Formats: sequence, C-alpha cells, structure tokens
Amino acid sequence: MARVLLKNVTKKFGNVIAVNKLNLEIKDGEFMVLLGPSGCGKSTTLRMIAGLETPTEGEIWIGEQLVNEIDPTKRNTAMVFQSYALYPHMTVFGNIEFPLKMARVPKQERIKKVKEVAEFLGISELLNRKPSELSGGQQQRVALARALVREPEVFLLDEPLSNLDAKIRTQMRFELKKLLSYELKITTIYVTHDQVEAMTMADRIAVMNRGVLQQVGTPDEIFYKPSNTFVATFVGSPPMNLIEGEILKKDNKVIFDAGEFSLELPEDVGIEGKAVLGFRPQHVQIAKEEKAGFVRGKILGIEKLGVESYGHVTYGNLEIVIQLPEEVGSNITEVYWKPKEDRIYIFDSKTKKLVYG
Amino acid sequence: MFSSFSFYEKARNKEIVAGLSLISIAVILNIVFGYFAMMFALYLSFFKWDYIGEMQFVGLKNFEIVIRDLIRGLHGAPYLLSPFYTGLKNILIYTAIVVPVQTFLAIVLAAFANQKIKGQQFFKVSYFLPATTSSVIVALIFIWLFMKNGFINFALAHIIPGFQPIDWINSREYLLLAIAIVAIWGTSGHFMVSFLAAMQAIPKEIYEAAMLDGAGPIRRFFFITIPMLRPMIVYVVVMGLIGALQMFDLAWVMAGANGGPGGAGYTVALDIYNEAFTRIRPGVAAAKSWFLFAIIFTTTYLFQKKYGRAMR
Amino acid sequence: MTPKEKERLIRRIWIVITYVVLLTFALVYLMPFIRSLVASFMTWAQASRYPPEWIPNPFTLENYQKLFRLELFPRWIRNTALYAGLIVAGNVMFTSMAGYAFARLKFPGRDVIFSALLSLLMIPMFVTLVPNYIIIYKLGLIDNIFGLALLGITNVSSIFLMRQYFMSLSNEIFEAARLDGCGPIKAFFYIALPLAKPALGAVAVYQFLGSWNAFIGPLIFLRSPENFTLPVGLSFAFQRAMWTEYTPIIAGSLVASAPTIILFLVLNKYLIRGIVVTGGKG
Repeated sequence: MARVLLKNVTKKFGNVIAVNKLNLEIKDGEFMVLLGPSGCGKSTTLRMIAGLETPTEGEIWIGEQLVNEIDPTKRNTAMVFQSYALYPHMTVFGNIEFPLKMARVPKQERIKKVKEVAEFLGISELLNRKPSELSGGQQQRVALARALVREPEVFLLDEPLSNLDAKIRTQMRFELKKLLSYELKITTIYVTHDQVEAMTMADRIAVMNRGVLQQVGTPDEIFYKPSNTFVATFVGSPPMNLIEGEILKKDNKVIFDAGEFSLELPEDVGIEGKAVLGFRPQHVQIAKEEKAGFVRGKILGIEKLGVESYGHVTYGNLEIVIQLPEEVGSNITEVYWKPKEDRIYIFDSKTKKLVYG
Repeated sequence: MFSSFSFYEKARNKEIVAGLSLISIAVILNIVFGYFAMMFALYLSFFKWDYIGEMQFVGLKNFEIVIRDLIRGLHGAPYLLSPFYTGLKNILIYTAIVVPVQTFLAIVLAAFANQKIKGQQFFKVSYFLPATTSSVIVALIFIWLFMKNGFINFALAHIIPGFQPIDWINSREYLLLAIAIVAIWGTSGHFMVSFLAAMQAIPKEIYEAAMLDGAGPIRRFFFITIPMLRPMIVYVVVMGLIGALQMFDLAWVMAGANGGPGGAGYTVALDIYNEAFTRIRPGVAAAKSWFLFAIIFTTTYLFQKKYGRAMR
Repeated sequence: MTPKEKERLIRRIWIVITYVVLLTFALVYLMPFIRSLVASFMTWAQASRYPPEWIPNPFTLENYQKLFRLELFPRWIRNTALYAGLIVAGNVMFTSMAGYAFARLKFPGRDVIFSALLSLLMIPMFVTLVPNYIIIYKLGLIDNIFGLALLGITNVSSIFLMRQYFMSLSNEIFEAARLDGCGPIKAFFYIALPLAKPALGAVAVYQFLGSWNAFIGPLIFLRSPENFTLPVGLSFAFQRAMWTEYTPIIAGSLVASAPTIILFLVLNKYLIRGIVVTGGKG
C-alpha cells in the first residue's frame, strides 16, 4: 500500500497562486480530508496528486516513488469526480471495463474483474444499464467501481457527495467510510467543503485556505484545538464567536475588555494587550438573572433547530451567538451569559494564531 | 526543474502533435482555398490573363475598367457598355426591396405565430420548406408560375381588381421584381422561424410586468418584443444583405447569364461570372469581386455600427 | 355588452385574424409545391391552361418518363448523390477532428488559427471563386466531382459547430478518460466522437442540404453535361430547351427536391431548432 507525501508543493496559474508551499503527509491507509472553502486549493492539490495538473514547484511522492514525472495512469491512484464523469454512451459494464481496456488487459480477465467489483459494490444487476438510467447513488457506486477496478493504492475523491440529495448523502457518507477505511483499508484523500463530512469521515483533516495549509489534525484536534481563527470559524456550526478586545490585568484578575462589556478570564492567561477571544456557541453558561461574572445581553432573535436553539445577542456591531438551554422559551428578551472557562480560546490579534486554549 | 522526458512534457508534446494533426486537413484546405485564393485574387486583379498564355502586369488597369464602366453607366450608357453598372444598380434596387420586406414579413408572421395557437409546428414547417429547396429548383418552378397565363397572374387578377396579366419573365420592368418576389418567398419563412425562436426566448415575466404596468398587446410588441429582438433583427438584416448583394442563382435561371431583356435581371455576381468564364478576363473578374467585397463589407459594417452587432 | 364580454369578443376576433393571416401565408409558401405536384401529372397543354386546372386529366406519368428517358437525368441524380455523399462524409470526418482539437486540446497557435478560420466566413465566395477555379484547374480536377468536393469538405461553419459542441461537454469526462489511460487521440475516438452524435447529425444534415442544393460551385467546376448535378443539369435542360413542354422540368424539379423535402419533413423539429441555433443555412 502507499502513503502520499507532498513536499513544498506550489501551483501557480499565471499570477494566481492556487497552492502555496504545501507540505502534507497522508499515511498508508489513512482517510485524509482536504477541507476548505471553494478556491482554497484543495481540488488543485488533489488534481496534482492524480496527475491532472503539474506542480509548479515541489515534489509529490506516492509510496516510495516520486511521481512528478509519472503518467497519471501509472501512479496507482484512482479518482472519483464530483459529477462522477461516467461515460454516458457506455453501459455500466463498459464504464467499469474502460480503464482495463485502455490498459490492454485481456478480455477474459476484464470481464472477471468487472464482475468481481460489481459484485463487491452490489451493482451486478445494473451492468447492462446506461448511466442515465441510474439514480444518483447508483451512479456514485459505478464511479467507485470504475475507480476500484484499477486496484489503486490511493483513492482520490473530489466532492463525491455534493451531487446527492441530503438523505442519501448521510447514508453514503457512512458507506464510503466503511468501504474505504474498514473493508479496503486504502489510502484515501477526500476533498470537500462540508465540515460535517470532514468531521464524520476523516482520520485526519487538512484545512486549507487561499492555497495555504492552515492545520492538519484529527477531527477532535481541529475542533478543540483550532490553530487559528480561520479553522476556528470554518469548523463548527454555528461558527465560533470571535470578539476583538484587550486583555488587562487588574487586581490579580485577568479581564477581557470588549468595549461594550468585559469578561473575567482564567488566571493562567498570561497574555496582555490586544487579542481576539473565541468561544463556541455551545460552550456558554446561561443565567436568567443577573449573576456575578455574567454578561447581560439583549436577544435579537432565536434560531430554533429542534432540540438546540441559538440566541443572537448584540452589542453595537458585534453579534454573538449562544446556545440557549432547551427549556428557554422563544419569548425571552434578555439573557445573562458567560463562556465556559475551560473552553475559551485566545488568538493573537495580528497573526490570528491560537495563543491560549 | 523537470527533465525533458517528464510525463508532463511528453503528454504536452503528444497533445500538440495530436492537435496539429487533427486540424491539419481542415486548416490546409481552408488556407489554400481561402487565404491563398484571396491573395491570388488580389494578385490576379493586377494582371491581364487568359488562363493559358503569359500573365501580363497591367497595374490598376482592371480597376480602371470597372470604374470606367461605372462612369459610362452613370452617363446613361446602355447595358452592354456598362454591365457592371447595370448589375450594381439592379442588385442595389433588389436588395432595397428584398431585405426590408423579408425582414418585416418575417417579424410580422413570427408575431402572429407567437401566440397560444394550435398547429404552430405546421406553420413553421410550411414557412420553412422553401428554405430547404434549391434556389434553382425554386426559380424553375416560379418561371412557370410567372408565365403570362400562369398561376401568379391568375391569383393577382382575383385579388386586384382590373389587374392585367404581366409577362413577368420577359418584361424589362417586372423581371427584377419577379426575382425579388421569389427571393422573399424563399427566405422570409426561414427568418420567421428564427424570429419566432427569439421571441419565445424572451422571458414571460417581462411581458407580465409590462401587463401589470398597463401596456396592451400592441404596446408590448413595440416596447418589449422589438427592442428585445434587436440583435436578431440585426442578424437577419446582415444575413439578408450578404445574401442579396451576392445574388446569382435566381438571376441565372430566371434572367439567364446575360440578364434577360435589356439586362433587367443582370447582377454583379453574374457579371463576375461572365468576366471570368465568358469574356475570359479573370483579372477584371478579380477586380470586380473586390468591388463586391467592398460593397458587402461596408454595408454590413455600417449597418452593424449603427444598430449594434449581429447576434451569433 | 359588459366589458368582459367585449374583451372576449376582441380576443376571439384577434384569434380569427391570426389564423387567417397564418393560413394565407402557409398557402403562399406551400402553393408552388402543391401546384407543381399536381401539374407534374398533367399534360403541358393542361398545365398551361388559363384559368389553372387542379385535377390532372388525363392523369399522365409522361413527364416523369420523359425525364428518365433523357439519359443524363439519372446520371445527374447519381452525381448529386455522390457530391452530397462526399461533402457529408468529408465534413463529418474532418470537421469533427478539427472541432475536437480546437475545443479540447492545447497546442501553440490554436486560438489564432481558429479565429483565422472564422474570419474566412466574412469573405464572399465570389472573391475566391476565380482563383479556386484556377487551383482546381491546375490540379487537373476540373469537371470532376471529387475536385469540386475538395472545396467543401472542411466547411468552416461545420468546424465552428463541432467546436461549440465539444466545448459544451463536461471537462470531468475527459479528465476521467485521461486518468483511465486515454491520450488525446484515444479520447477522441472513445469519448468525444460517440458523444458528438447530435452535432455530427446536424453537420451531416446541413451539409447534405447545402451540397444537394448547391449551384454556383457545380456550375463552374463541372463542365460536361454528364458530370452535372441536378440543379445545374435542370437549369441546363431548361436553357437548352431539351423539352418543348415545361412539365418535365417541373417533374424534374420535384424529383430533385424530393430528398431534401422528405429529409426536412422527417427531421423538422430537430432541424428548425438547430438552424435557429446555428443561425442560418449559409
């Protein structure tokens, strides 16, 4: 099997830097998700690994081989596209057979392999149909089969679930994960902009923004130890609250002064001066009456999402989202809140990097 | 940083070779019969030649012949002494009739058809049918219909009171008109279908908004349909101009290569043909073809400059 | 009358006017065909009678027989079919290749060459007619259907149409093919060509109509009557007054236009849409 190693990989399109000095290792058998907003360079990275794009600089290793100069078909990778890119004029059989045919695999062996893969993915009875006669989920499986039949060492998936409707998507999420990680135990690189997909499927997540790798880590690390404000707000829903202000020391207390209000921070915060305070809407304590250390807030509106509900609290231009206890009615107009002390993050006001938390 | 044998280089070279070979035949033929022929036409227009003997450089003499022809024509010389002038005059009159009429007719018919009516496809098919038929065939059929005791005179006698049958094809006054009628018959239906498609592409919401603003059907036609159709109108007019100014087939069949009685159906295109293949003066033919090109280019250019670019 | 009734009445009158106008013009456009069809079964004496008659009496096939008694006529049909066949085959083959390369492959000068080809559409055929006659003459291909076809097998409009079609296909399909091991040529045969059937069909039909109906090219490049195509042959027969009557010409016209008319009637929905999209038959 194979690990994938990216060393200082840069891709420029004219003057635009799509990927900037990317260093990333995907371990053998690992399910790595490249996460980021559109245009962040994640798809370009995937396409460079596949061989559809050539890196402007840097090295791409698959297994023990430097693949920069290796033809895409000889990289032992297989790719599933967002639109599945099934050949509409071929049957399912023809689609799965196609890579083997191009590799001049003998006919008998081709038939055997296609049947095996189809059996494995449970699409044997679809082999004579055309892609247009299949549902989205079935097309997805055919695309997987076409990729699997090449017996790749690395599996590349580019937003493979975004063309499916929400219900099937959830189901396919687990099926894909089961198939690739538990049954095939194959190295997988999965591109998505959907943080839920990333959190639920990944062994590790690589968060990218504007061509730059922001953080690599397990879903827990990404969620609980975001390395900067971008990761902090991109992962998690609703996004983490970020408040700009100043940290002051007064009478042995550490105070965060946001202008409109101030909060007491844990004593071990050793930073002073301008900073960005972050806390997730879920990590807030709520009181109905005035309480020491709690901040009074006017509720502008409440979003009810079934069990959870989120209140929007405003201070001038600043809007803070906090999760409200289930029993809170929708008619309350005032709340007293305070971030949980062990769940606050402090970011440098300039570099936006995590300095505490 | 990559060796010259990297897959990328190889793939790129493969693509270049494939690309160039795939386009090669099309490009070579079009260069020969398009660009080379054009330069040859330019070259030819400075030479006197009879296809067989030596080519003889004559400078601008061939163009002078054309201009003298025009001047003679302006001074009232008869058709045989000023064939180019006659052809040009005829083709301008013909264009001035055909283009506005066929465009107008096409819009009006499209507007009528663009309603909730049954049998729209039947109308489209019958209007379009003439465009799928060879202009020569059309001309041959119309010669018969235009005969003195033919169907067209019969029909007109029933529509216009006191109408006297005309010998269209053999008449100096009516031959060009007859050709124009055939041309309009042959192309207006085709353009009508284009207009209809353009009208059906106008979003319904715009009409509904105009309706709420109190615009009736007539005003909706003039204030919404016509402006929205403008690129299509320009396209139809430009196509019409290009076709009409080069008219050859209909005149060849209905008037003959010499343009019929008194050159009444003579055209510039016929004149170029005659210079090249009857009078055997390819140089003069080339010079005349540049005049024709200039006329087509300036009219279509001026029109598009004034009314916006044609839709493609 | 209430305003509502008035409105309904106006609406009804308008519909009537619409139908009257549309039907009148349908008649105008169809009448020459109908008249010809009827007259082709008449004697010339009857067909030229005034006022016009509508029922062939006696019903005669004499006009068609006369037509086919002329040995040239079947030859003209064959020549036209050969010419149209060459043009269609050439365009389907060469313009799909070129269109694919212009749309999907990268090579130096691609866009410049393509715009250079497109600008040829602005050049009136009369400018290049005489030089092309000389070129074909020098190649020894005058009076030869193959020489004539050489001029039209790589039509620029067809290249344009094919290119547009190939550009509209999804990128991912071609990338998938690339990863599956297709080079540019294999991708053309295995992916692009099978997917281009609608565009190939359109090119084939337009080129068939164009070449079957072509006149000026065949007129100039074909010299001897036995090599003529139908439009040239029929106008030749008319001008040489091969028959004393006009009805064989009418019958010949119908025979000559039958393939295009039938093709159009069969494919009308598809053709009307396509011609509107590509903007005209030229």
